[in-house]
Amino acid sequence: MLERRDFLKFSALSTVVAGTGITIPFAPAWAARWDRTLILLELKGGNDGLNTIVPFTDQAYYDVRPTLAVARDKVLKVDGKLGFNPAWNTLMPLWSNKQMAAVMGLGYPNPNLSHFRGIDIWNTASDADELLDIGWISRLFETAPPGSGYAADGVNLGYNELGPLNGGNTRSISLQKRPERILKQASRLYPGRAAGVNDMMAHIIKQRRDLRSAAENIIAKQIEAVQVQGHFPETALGEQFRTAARLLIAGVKVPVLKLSIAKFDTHAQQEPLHGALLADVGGSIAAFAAEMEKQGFWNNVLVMTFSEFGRRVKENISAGTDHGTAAPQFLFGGRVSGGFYGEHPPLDDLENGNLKHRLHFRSLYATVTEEWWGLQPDFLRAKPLGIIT
Amino acid sequence: MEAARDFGLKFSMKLFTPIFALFTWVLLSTGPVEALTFDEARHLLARTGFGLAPEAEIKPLLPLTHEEAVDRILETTITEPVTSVPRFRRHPTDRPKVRKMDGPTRNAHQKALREDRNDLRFWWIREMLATPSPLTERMVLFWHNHFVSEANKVQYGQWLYSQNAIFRKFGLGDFRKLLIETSIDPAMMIYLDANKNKRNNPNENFAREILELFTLGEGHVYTEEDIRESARAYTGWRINAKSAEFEFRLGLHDNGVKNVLGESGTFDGIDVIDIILKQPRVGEFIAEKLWREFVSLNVDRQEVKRIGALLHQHKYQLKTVLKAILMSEEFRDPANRGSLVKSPVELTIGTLGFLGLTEAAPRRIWNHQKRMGQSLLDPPDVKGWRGGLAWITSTSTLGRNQFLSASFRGVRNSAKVQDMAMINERKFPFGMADSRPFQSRERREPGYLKKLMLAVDPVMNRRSEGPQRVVFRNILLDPAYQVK
Repeated sequence: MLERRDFLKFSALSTVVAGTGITIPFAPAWAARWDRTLILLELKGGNDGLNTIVPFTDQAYYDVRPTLAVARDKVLKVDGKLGFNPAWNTLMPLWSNKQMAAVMGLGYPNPNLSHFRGIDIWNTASDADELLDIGWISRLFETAPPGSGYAADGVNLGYNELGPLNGGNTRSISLQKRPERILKQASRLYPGRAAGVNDMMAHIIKQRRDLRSAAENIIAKQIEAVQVQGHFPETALGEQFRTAARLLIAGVKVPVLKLSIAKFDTHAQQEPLHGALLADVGGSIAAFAAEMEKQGFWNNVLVMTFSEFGRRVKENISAGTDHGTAAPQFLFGGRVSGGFYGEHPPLDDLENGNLKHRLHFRSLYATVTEEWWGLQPDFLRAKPLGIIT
Repeated sequence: MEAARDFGLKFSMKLFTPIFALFTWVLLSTGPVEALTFDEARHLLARTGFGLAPEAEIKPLLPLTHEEAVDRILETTITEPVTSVPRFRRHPTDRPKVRKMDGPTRNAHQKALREDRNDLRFWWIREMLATPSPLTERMVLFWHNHFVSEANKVQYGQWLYSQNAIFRKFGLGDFRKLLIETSIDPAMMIYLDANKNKRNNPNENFAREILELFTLGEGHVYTEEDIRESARAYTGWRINAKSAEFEFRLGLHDNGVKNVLGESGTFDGIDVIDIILKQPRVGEFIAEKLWREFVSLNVDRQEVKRIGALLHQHKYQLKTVLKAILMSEEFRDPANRGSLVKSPVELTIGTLGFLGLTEAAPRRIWNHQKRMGQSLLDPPDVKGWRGGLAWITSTSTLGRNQFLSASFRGVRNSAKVQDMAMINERKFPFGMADSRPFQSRERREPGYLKKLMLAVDPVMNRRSEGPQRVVFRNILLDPAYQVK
């Protein structure tokens, strides 16, 4: 039912031409499809791409990874040369249904091997030697703000970092761990009167107003009444995906959800930890996909992974891997045309023991902005990959 | 004296028609009229401290002129910490190769380093709460955010501490010394790869940042060629493996002729630093940054140029520059009150100090600061925390509120709390504060608390006058409390 409040929101989407009184619909060329939700999944610490997509016919892989290589007979083979880590067996139905895309060899020139710089580059879509303050999604929002029809521009369910949602005028809310409690706190924030205050106070009051309105909007959807039945892993990430599903099913309108899982910085004793992390990721995404499918939302959500870098090709003496460069990232969703994209970086063409990137990571972002949301921001300077239909 | 007259004149010329100029000049130059008002003293202390004026320090300033008050604050800065420095578990003089460790040894080593870094953070937080000179710690933090290094790259607590001590020692002293001492100190050398800078294979990281971030500012005066050339001058800088201190290795130094900022010669690193320091832009750049820190985010170009020139005229004495900033018309302009936001460190330290919760566990304080976006020793990148509007995000807004609610809960009449052992840590994370000062005569004056604690009027429709606990709470949780 369309309530008065909603009606007001819709009418806000039209604009009155100054002085004429004529109302024209507000539908500029760049109108984005913010009704489609992107789920950003950050794999914190640098995921080992080479043990995620395994080149099981390449002897070089088995030579440089004497203890860590995934045994040939364990690999989930999906074509003649490549297969997935067995921990991803839960994702294989999505792969067979062509709803999972693996974009390989993603990176950028002059890669930075620091976690902090590395993730900044991925967060802001900057060049290696460029320091930007604003996340790439926030930069998108600056050109095409979702507007008041959305509860918030972004909701963070993972670690306390907004990453791509950082900075700008992005209206985001972080609901880690106990979303109900945070919502309650935020809904009680009193923004204060903005009349006659200085710029700093105006900014503070605006943030409070945005936060409170996001919280009220979400609370009004009664997410606590939504129970999801699916088999989400009993992990922090499983819980994040469960909350994401509840928000969407309750009808909370938000263009971006950010989720995260840590511990991918596997310098020592990589196994069994890395396998467990992948199992957590795979199980959570599979459960989320099933729930979305069941509720008829699967065509309206897109899951995208990202991570600051891949890992060194050769394993180290602690049965771990050090910081590396290029790695694959993944897209999941009802509109994804599944399969491999890009090229698996060859192990005999390395730079300082690291894989050379085959595809700029910004082409992954361009795919999302252009093919998912219908936006062509000039700052990405990359071509979309033709993954989303 | 001359400065005061000069100031009076400038002030009058700008604000009044010439007909009132003489009258104003007389007003401002006669003794008793110049004495600070309560609001001015509060503003000066809040801006040079942790965003809030300690109540006890206002009164002693009231008989003074603005200049005398500024002098007193500058004169009482210190160069050594007042609390004892942590003892570190690992020392950079004994640096094992992590690469060669097996898993458990490596984990134990990294855990010890992590704990050392935490101990340093906790110590610094305690120092901020204990210091008799908040301005000293504000300057240490200011330089930490200027000569940025990130704990995760420097690794050793001892090295990070040495840098912190340089900031305290020279932070309001000689800028040339500060710049050189910081540059040849291991924390900076590691953070900016200066120790990897070899003849024939120069690393330009440090050469770039000293121009771009420490002295001239991005896009000012220097060219890419100056970066490449000066990088050659810094070659041969090393950290001695045994002493873990700076050394100059002539064998790794490029002795050739370099062309830097229009001069040429067989310069070494210190020569180049002196060449950079000759640029008048250096003073302007530092003055601008101090202006944004202490006065306003709107920079008065002409004033900053004038004040910046003082750095060069007064042998790089930072106190002269800071004094000129605190004496500026804009600093005193009531319209600029409340125009700066308190950083997470200011908000936490200022509030806890004000409430008398100085025994609060530093780890908890650090956790709150982190949630608000400022974890000490972990600035986001080489450019440091952006500050200003960027402090206020949706996440930090809630974090700030949570901190203020939690610290307020600790304000109780301790006589009424029967059993101290029953105090629930979760409920009173920063401990208990005696609420009796609320009963003081001054605080019973209507509007006193508001006048003491806020730089601008409250914006929430809540009671903000009276001595009651609830009034105190309303003031703390008002958005106006976020600015200084």
